[in-house]
Amino acid sequence: MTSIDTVQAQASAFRATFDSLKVEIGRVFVGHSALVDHLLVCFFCQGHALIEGPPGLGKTLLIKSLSDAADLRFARVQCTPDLMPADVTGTNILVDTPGGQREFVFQRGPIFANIVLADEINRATPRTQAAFLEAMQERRVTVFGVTHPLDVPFSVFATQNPIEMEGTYPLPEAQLDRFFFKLNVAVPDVADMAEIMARTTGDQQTRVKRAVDLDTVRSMLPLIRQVRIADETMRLVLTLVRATHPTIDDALPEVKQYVRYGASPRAAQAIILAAKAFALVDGRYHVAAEDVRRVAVPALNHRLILNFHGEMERITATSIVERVLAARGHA
Amino acid sequence: MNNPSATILTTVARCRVRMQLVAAVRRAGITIPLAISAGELFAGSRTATPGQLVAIAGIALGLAVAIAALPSMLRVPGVRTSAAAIDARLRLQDRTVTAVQMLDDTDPMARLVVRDAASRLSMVSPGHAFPFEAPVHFRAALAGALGATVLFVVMTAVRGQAGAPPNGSDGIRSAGAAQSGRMGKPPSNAQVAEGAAPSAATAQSQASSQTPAAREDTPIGRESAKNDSAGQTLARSGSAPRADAPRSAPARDVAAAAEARDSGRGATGFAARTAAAAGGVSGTIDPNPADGIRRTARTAAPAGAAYRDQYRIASERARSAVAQERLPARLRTYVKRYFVAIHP
Repeated sequence: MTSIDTVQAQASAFRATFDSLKVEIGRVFVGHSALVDHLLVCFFCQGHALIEGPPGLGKTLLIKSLSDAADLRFARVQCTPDLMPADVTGTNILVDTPGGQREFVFQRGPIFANIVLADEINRATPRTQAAFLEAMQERRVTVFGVTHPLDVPFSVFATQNPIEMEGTYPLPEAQLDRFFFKLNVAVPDVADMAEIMARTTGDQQTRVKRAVDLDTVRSMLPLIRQVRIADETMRLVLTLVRATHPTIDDALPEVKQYVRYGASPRAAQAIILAAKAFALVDGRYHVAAEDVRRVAVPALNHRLILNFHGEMERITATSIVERVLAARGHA
Repeated sequence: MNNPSATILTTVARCRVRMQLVAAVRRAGITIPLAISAGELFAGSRTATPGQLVAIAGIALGLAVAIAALPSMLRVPGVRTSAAAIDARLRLQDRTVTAVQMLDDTDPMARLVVRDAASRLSMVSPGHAFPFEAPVHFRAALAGALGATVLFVVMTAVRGQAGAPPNGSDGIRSAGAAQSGRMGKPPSNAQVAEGAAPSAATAQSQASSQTPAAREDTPIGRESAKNDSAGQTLARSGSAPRADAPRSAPARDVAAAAEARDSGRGATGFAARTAAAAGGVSGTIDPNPADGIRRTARTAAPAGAAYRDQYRIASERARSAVAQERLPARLRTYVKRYFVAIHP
């Protein structure tokens, strides 16, 4: 088997895995096909996602279903104001050794799972939120001067409730930028709601089956980065990201009027990686402009910081991103 | 598919040629109707022989084709640009442009990209992918060309009617016929001017409308214009005799009035001479009024040095105006005859 055939087989396996995971998640999480696609892409790109939506829409269920279907270690952290960083990262505890002595042993926190669900992350204090920073960016935890690498794959999926902001600590821009995607969970339509009722209020409970094992998932992660992107498409991404900055000369009037800070180069990284994953899902070995369009909103909408006017006029970052996309001919 | 890279490059090259051709044809869809319009308007604004019309049409079409083809020849798009255009046209999701970039890469993913693109492009027919299409403003250009054609035809027809003598091809003869009473008006200086050299005033005014300087510098024309207007006034006020009635009295009146006006203006006796040449004075019909005019002019034109100088200057300017085609074609003959008539 030649190396080309190997890559081709890996790409086919990736598509099959992606589809089977989507099917399994769909057994318990009804509707929101695009949301599931983005979540899976985020996971395969080894990114972290901020999932925003009102309570009761299945955000936690979605993440749990992914970990179950992919045979991943799952940890959930319910963020509250009294949650301490050590509760997330772990800490050294004094234990008795078989020899009758006592020694400090590092007790791993929930951050050492493959998938960490930080539920209502905006309720944790900034200090605890910061505990996630190193883990999310460096994929390691340093406790008492000792660095502990995190497992592969590793993704943090944080949820937050947009309608109840009292007593919360909104995530700072630096931390928001570390999230690969920000995904919004909308209220399902009537048909999806009926399906949810049918599945959850009957006597038969649907469960997620394991669709893939952990090693297979691990073997697929490098494949995404091998997907090729043409210079023209790369330039499209970069101009798109740059167009979100109000300080550039050819910024759109909406951007100049409502945006305080535009997206960082990390946004371009996220767009390109996610576009590569979508290209593989679509059966291609290269990124197309439509892949970029597909991932631009979730990759950019939390990286645009609106100014006072934007917030007062209830302009959303998503609408700004869509306007920028339309101006670039990618509406 | 033996060589995917070759397939891609060949297809891109063929599509590039086709795109240039399509672009040239699209441009020609605008430039040719515009050239037709411009050529027709140009030809319609002057009298042109069929040979000149053919030459104008040829030049216009040649220019249109050159303008349409030149950008395609001068600005040859690069391979990447052509590949991007192919992708956009055939909705290949950037396959071609990516493959063109990866042609020299040897890693498996790049080879897969090239192979995938080649498999798509091998089925592409440039003619099918880039068909000839009408340009965006083709209908407007076509409508403009049709409008210009209609205008050209109308202008040509109008000029043909206006350029033809009112009664036969010889204007002098028609002037003579008018004097013989067929037109129901007494012969007058104005009628003579309208028939034989009538339009010295008209031609002068038309020529001068194009060249104001000429209007100032042609005293003979000015005088003639005054004479004509006066003569016309008299003619209108005079009775309209029967066609076969003797017309010597009104003709004499007209001649006398014209002579009275002409006296002291350096053209004494001109009206009388022209009226006599037209047969108005004697009341007889001159069978060949042109000869009469010439004969009368030769015999009766003042031969003074001042008149000759004036004549020389004015006739030279008239000749120049005729040579430069500043006069409408239909009036040139009249102007020439007028100057023959007043030759000293």
